[in-house]
Amino acid sequence: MRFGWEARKASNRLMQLAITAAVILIAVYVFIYFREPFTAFTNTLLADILTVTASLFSAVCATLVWRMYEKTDAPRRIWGYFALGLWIWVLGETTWSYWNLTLPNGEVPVGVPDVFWVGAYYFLGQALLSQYKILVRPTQTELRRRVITSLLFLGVSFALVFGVLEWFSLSSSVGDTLVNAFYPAGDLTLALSAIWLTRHFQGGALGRPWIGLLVFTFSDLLYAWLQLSGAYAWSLAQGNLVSGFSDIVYFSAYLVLGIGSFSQWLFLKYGLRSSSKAR
Amino acid sequence: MYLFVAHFMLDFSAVIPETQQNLSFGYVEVLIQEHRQELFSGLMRISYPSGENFVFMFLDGVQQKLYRCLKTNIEIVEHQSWSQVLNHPGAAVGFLALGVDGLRLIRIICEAPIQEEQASLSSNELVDRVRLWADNPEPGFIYIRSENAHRFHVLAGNPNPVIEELNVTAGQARFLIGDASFAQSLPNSDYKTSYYLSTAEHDAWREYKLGLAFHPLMRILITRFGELAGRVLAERLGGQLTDWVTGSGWNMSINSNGVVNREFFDSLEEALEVYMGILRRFRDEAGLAVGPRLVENMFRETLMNLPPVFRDILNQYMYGLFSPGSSALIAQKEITQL
Repeated sequence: MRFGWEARKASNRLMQLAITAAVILIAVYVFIYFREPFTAFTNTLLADILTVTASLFSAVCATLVWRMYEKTDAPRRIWGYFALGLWIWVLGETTWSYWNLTLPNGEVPVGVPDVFWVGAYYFLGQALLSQYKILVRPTQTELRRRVITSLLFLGVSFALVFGVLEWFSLSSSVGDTLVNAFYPAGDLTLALSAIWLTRHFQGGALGRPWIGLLVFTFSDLLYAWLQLSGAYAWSLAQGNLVSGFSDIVYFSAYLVLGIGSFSQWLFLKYGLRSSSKAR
Repeated sequence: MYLFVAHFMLDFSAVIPETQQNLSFGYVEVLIQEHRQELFSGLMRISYPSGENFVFMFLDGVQQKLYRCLKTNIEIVEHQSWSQVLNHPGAAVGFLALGVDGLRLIRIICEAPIQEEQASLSSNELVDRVRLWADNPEPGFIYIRSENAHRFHVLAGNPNPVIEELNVTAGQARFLIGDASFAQSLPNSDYKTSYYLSTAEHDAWREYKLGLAFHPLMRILITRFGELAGRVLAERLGGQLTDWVTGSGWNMSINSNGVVNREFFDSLEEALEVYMGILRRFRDEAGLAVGPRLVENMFRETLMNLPPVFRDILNQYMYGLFSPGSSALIAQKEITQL
């Protein structure tokens, strides 16, 4: 694909286009969420389609970045894992939407979507680990220490959240509690890793996807906290803004994550060149 | 008329075979003109019946320097005096083709101040002696003569990872890069050997060592950048740096293997300005991709991976460019990003 304008202009325009599309999607989502212009089923269907589209956008962008790297490039491994994790999240969103639309009350129990959502954390973790290895070039001992520390942090956070949930009997079964306790713990671990990476790449284009991941993990953390604390269900019943805000942030976070990856793709395609040549 | 005097210098012009004798000044000028047109790189020896020896240094057809070789010293002849000093009849002329690396080596031999130590050594003795000389923290060079070969080895000063060699046999010069083990590969024979001890403080050595150090510095920096950002971006970065350096009129290129330097700098300051310019450009361009903090880390890591002799000279001249909190880094943060 070749563009008739200068690389920098092409990059800026495509970025502006992506941001404009994201803002429009968010506006449509907000409109459907609060104005409910169609029947309940259609509104839910459209909101779910938008969420799946947003997750699809982030997965496609990550895949585009993965494809830009050559087989021998070390970052290709990062983006392979990252894209795989995001594609698994797409499956999670799709199956969740299916249950949401087909179950009588629309409440999706812990089940198949969670297998995808939880499973994706492994690949996202591998992506972060690969990035860490490239950045720091640790010795085997350092790497082992870092992995053990991260797993310990994940385990302790998980145990703490699980304990709190069990104490307050906030989930219906132990299985549900285990799954529900994992999300905040996993999000927190990813968020801390993303903060570390963002700090290292400060100001660099290759750090933008990690800013996207940071935003996503925080929004997911917020969503998980509202769900687990019961605030989300209470807000839905009261019809106030809290649940709506959380859903919109969750939806937007997918778009931010996608734009972060898209930004890296643009940089790989057009960055560090002064001519209008595209790869 | 003369800018610089090197003490106790060898007359290396003897290694350039004379091919034409008893030439008029006009004919010498014609030969010079012909070699200019052929974009000749190497040395032209002009000697006169009076015993005076001159050596012209050509790079890509351009005369860079004229040296006057005497028994005890070598002088650089100022450009405006070239015609005047060469305007004598009865000249004998010879040429020795050399690449830019060989020319740089010759420049060190001609310009650096030296003290001479002569010996006639067997090949075994030479091995021990070379090890001893290579251990000297001060730079120098070795001139080894055998029946039909002349070898010059430049020692940059201990710790000394690189020994450049110029081997002149039957009027053909060959430039090689090796290390202190070169003496072990010499055939069994007796060698007339001269060791010339110099001082690292001289600008000729500083420029030479800076050039030697800059090559691995850029190679490691670009390799590391490629690890972080991928090969395509690394190649593009090399292209950007090459565009910039050639656009500024310098005969250099930068790729993932390091620097191809065909430039013959007039002075240490000029070399420094170009190297600093490349590094600044690297910092700005690589910073767009990986951020200034990582660029700074890359530079620091790269310095740590270089041999101490290279690290010292780079630290001496370039460390400020990447030091934390420097104005350059602050300026980097203000660069508009793609």
